[in-house]
Amino acid sequence: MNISKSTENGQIVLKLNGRLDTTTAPDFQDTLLSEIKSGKNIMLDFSELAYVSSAGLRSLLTGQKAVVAGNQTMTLRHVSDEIMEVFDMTGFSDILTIESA
Amino acid sequence: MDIHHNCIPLTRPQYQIWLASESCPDKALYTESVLLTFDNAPDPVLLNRALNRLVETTETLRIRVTRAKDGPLQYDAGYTPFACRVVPLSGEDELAAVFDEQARFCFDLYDSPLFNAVIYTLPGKTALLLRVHHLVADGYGFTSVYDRLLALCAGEEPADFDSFLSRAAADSSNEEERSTDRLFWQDYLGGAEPGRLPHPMPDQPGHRIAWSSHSVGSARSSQLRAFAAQQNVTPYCVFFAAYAVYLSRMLGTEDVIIITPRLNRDTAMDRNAAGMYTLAVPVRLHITPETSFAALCQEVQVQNRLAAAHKRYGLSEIMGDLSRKGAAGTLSHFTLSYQNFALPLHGLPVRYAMHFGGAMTNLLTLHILDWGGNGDYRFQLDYRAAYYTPHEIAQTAQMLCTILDQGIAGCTQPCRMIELLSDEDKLCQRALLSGPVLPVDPEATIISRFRAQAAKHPDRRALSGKGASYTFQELDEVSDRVARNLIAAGVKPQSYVAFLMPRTTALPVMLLGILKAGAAYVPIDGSYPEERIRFILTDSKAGLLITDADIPDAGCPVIAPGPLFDPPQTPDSPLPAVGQDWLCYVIYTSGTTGKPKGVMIEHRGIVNFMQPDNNEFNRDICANGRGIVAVGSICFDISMFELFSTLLNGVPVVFADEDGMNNPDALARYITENDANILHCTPSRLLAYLEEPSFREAMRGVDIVLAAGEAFTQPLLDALHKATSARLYNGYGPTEITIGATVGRIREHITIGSTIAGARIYLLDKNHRIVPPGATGEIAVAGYGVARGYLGRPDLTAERFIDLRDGPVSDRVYLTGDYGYALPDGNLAYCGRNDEQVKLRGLRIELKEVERCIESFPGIRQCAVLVRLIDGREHLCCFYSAAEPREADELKQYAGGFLTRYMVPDLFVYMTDLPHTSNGKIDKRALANQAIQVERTYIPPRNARERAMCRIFSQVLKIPEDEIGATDSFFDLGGTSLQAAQIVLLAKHEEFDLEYGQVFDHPTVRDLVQCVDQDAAPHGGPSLPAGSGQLCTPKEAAILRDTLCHNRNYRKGLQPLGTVLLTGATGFLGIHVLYELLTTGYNKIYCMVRPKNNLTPEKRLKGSLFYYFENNFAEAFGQRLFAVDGDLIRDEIVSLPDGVKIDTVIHCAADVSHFGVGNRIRQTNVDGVRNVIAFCKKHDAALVHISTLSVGGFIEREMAEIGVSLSEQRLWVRQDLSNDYLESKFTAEKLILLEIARGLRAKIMRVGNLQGRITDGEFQMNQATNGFTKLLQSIVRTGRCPQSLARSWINFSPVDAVARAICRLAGSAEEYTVFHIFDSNDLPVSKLLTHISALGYPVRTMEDEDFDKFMLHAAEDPSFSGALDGFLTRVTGGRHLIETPCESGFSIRALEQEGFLWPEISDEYLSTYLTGLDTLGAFQ
Repeated sequence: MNISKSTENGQIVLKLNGRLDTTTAPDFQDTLLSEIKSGKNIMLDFSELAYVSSAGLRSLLTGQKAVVAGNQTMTLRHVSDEIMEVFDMTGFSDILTIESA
Repeated sequence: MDIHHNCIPLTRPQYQIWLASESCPDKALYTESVLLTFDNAPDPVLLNRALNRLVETTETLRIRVTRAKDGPLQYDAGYTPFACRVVPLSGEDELAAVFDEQARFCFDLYDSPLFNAVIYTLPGKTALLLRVHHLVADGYGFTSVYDRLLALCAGEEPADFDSFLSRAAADSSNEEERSTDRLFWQDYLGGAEPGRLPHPMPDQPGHRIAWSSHSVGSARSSQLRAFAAQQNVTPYCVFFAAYAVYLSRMLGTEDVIIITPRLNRDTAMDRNAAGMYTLAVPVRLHITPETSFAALCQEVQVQNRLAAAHKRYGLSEIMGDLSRKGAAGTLSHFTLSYQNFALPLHGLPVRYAMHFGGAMTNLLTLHILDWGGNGDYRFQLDYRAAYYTPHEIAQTAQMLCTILDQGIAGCTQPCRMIELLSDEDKLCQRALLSGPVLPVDPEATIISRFRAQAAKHPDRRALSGKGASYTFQELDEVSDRVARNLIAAGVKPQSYVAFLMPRTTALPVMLLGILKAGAAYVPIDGSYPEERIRFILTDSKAGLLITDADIPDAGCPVIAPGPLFDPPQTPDSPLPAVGQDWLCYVIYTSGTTGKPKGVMIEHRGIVNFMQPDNNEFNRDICANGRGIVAVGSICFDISMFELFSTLLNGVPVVFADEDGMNNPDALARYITENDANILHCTPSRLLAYLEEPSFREAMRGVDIVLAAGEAFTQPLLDALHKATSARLYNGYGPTEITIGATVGRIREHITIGSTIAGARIYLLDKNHRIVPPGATGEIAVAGYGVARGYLGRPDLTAERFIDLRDGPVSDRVYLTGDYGYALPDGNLAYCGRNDEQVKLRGLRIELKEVERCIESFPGIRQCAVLVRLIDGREHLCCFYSAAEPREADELKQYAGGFLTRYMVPDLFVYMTDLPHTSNGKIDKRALANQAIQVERTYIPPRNARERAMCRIFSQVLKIPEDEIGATDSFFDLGGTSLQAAQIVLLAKHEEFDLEYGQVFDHPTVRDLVQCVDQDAAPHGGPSLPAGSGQLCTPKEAAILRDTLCHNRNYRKGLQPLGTVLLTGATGFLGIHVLYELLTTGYNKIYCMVRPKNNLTPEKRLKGSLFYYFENNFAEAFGQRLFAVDGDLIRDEIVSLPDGVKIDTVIHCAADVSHFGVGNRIRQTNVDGVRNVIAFCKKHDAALVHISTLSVGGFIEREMAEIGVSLSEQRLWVRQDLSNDYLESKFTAEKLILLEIARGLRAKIMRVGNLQGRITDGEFQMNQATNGFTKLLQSIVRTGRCPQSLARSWINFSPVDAVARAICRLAGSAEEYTVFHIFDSNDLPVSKLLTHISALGYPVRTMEDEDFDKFMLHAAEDPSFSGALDGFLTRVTGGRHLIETPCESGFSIRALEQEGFLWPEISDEYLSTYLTGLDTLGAFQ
């Protein structure tokens, strides 16, 4: 999985490409947490993300907890229907901030 | 079993206790407790040291019991130093309360200590509570234990005990001796007549024990010792005799049986061991009217010796043998135990108190205590709180003293001379059952009372119905006319005038007219046979018969009623001045001899009864009555009640004609058209009428209902509560006491009410003495209403109307022949008549009791039970009416739950309606002649194995072998659970490897042989109770039985599944089944997935696969994996590409919400299954249906105790399915099984509690909706867990293992239709709690009571919002129900044979599983 970083209106945008699973989640989580430390708001761009497994969800939850603690925001955008179904099924759509398509 | 100790079997005495404990699990039977209070307040540390030393040196306190294949074993668990719990208390009051509660402690029977101790500190004192289970120590043994403790406290070093276990190891029994003993006991107790037992009080917990201690008194004690010495018997015998006299009086029997423990320590070594040696034996005494107290004491000694000689046989066995004949249940209720173990105090300032059990199964135990060893006796009475009040027990102690005093003083007098009740007691009993004394005008008559009403409300409507209507004034005038015409026709005062008239308003007018003429009327029913009419006319010497009917040879002048209404020739002639003691009517009642007898009733009884404030019912109608519809036959005195309670109080009467009497529609019209709000009806008729919509509608206007004349039943009460909010009344009284002696409002419980004003009731024994409080006696009535006697029958009159003289009580009473007992509040409960007590094969049966029980079965309207002789054999037959016939087995099983076996009818006859007599009572005479067919059920054994089993049954049941058919149920033949254990033992010799539970599951010879014999061909089926209600009809139950009987004796062998259609593939289990198929096989798999959120089935499936397995199996799609669009609730669930042939459908889809909205659950789980079945039939595919073990639902605890469980051979176990989900899954299974019977190839896989997969703990995607996750969440968020939950066990089935097992067994042979796919090794919840705490969420376990308090408080607290749901949604079955136990032997063996092993639920797994949940936010 590739993660590309950019800045948009003062918030950090992380664009994920590939699959978020046991293999890729640790890297992603490290990146995410270090960006959150900057104090800026985070935007996760999921347009190129194909699948999320339960391990991926865990890393998202860790990030979500960190932004809440830092009084920041973490928003997901361009979430595919497949991944949205996973978020719906797991109840994560109520926990995460997801920009509607 | 990994026990390195030396395990030995229980000894016979221990085995007795074990059996009884096992039959009453969770009840604190046999917990022996002693409380030692030290007034010198020793340091708890010193006590603890002494306790440690005690356990170290006392083998008994270290004995534990373990379960083994052949029965319980015991071993010495060894000594480990321990610290005894120390509890501070405020003082002796609290200590007493704590002791009372702690004595009810319930030991865990297996692999747990059977001894424990608690130290209490209180100001200036220290107390020590020691508890031991009777399994390891009897009273003697326990006493020597705490004697030793006191010695240790006193600093002595007592001599060692002898080892109980080494003695026990030598315990053996001699078969020959046992068979002699068996015969002895059968003979000894045969034909016992134990009398009338006390009745349980409603709303009291069944087994709860209460106790009370009473001093016998020094003077009485020494008198008793002197008497015993003089009689050359032990004091024990004298107490025994006194107890026997007491019981004989209370139970009303000459035949008394008392259970008494025998010490059974024959050698010095036995006496120097602690341990459990005691054996209880029944001792039977016959107290004839002439037996003197002295003779009785001698007899006690003789009988005790006799019984003791056979004590080793064992009480449980004795009762077991007898219970086949049904007698045991009533023989073992009363115990006497004599405890004269002196306890040396070793110079310590110590006091002690003792309790002998925290629960009891018998009713009353009398302990005679002589702990000082100086003959200064105390009574301790242990009693079942549901059967005795504390007051009754105090009276019992008093009565025992009274018996001792009088028995000793007049020891040569017959025991019957002993007066149990003091004069004061007798007056108290009289006061309890006497109605209020209200003034009655001595001049008043029916006539004067009626005229007073006519003057008061001249224009009020008095009488209407068919014929003319009358106001009160008109009725007064027209009846005057009739009276004058009658006098003119020759009627003399105090003569008898008979009438036979149709039911028009002319009839009540005639009746008043006859009374006004000074005569008594003799009513005759037109439906009587001529013979009877002539008999009545002759017997009553009637001077006149008024009728339009043609009665040949009437024997007296006959005139038509019509002309009597004409204006009389002398309109002003005076009418006679009627006296209150003149007769007003003579009613003929059936006599037991078959010849009717005329009961002579005077005015005063009616005048008294009809006083406005005589009773609750009168007060109600005087205040609220708008009118009654009179439906009672004029030949029964209840009609006088209808007419006079109203007319004499200014309330109108609507006199219904014959149609109104017999037709509910017509009666309904009478009620509504006349705005009557009072209804009287006999219970059986009322119950039948309530079925009619028109009648129920009319009931809406009725405020007051009286249902008297026969027993008011529970079904009637239920039906009335449903149909009306009217006030309900019951009453009781034979004709001889003028209409009624009791009246009472019925609310929750059925009684016959309390005594009316002006009447007195006595409950009498055979010798016409007042029975003690609580005892059942014959109801005798005194007061205004008592009839003058039987017309022309002085002999009969003298027999039934007697002068009662008992101490200070003297009264003229009528002996009703009915039996009843007084409730503490003065209400009377009715037990039936003498003649309703029948003897069947020598055993007494109260038919009323049997009827009441069967009527409580849902759906049964009415029933009547009688003994019928069929083919030369007596049968207890039950005739019943219900909406539809019920399976006899179902009714038997139900009744067997309440009644002793011999009281359960063996024949049930269904009738749409039971025949009724003209007065609305069930016509038992007609039923006695009703034709019934008895099916011949004897099926001979068909092979040697069945013959062997018949032989075993015969040996155990003592029934000739040739009377035992292959299909006879062991329990129908009278077998008991105890005898079932014997079956298991004997079967071993015949090389049947039988387990105890199998006898319950397969109670017939054939089934039992089949279930244990590997080679036997399957045939017949397990005895599955037939269905009821909508869940399962009897016919369906039969089909299920036949289908399911093949699920036994698994034979190895798997078939490939071929092309699979999988439903529910995106679900937690479905996706793991898919994964299993994908990774282990080569077959093609079509997954039926609904498109959702613009996603194609394939995309959805890939998303789920990736979520769980991080692999979307892209390479398999299109090759062997296909996602197809489908929907279960479409008739055609899926459309497949042409040419695709499905071989197996694995149906995982289900709606798992337990409480769903509307129809959704049913639609998915039932209609969906129907559609799946249709698919399978159309495509000739096999079905593998995923179900749940929860279809077992909930059953009554008692059912579980007798071994009812959900096994692979069962679906219908009469379970309660409390929610839509369970019901839908049940129905789905049923549908499939019924289709299997019609050729469908299908298997049902019942799964347990699906949990995170074993590989990595991963749990279901939608875990937030999982009830178990919710529960964990609530535990984490509140940090609390109730004790009961923490102590429970849960099933833990890793989903991937379940999926693998399903895929494996899906290929098993076609005949196997149900498997239980779960690991039968449950996980203790406490283990989960440990892991939760380890995650950083501390959990506090709380007593349930405290937890409930916490919940109440937390529900109000916003910070717990949403945190409690998991506790609240736990599904429980309610108070009496428990989750149906599950038997899975067949599946376990099947999985074993197919090489499947359940993975171990390791700590590592649990930790991963819980961490996984936590990191997904499940606990937030």
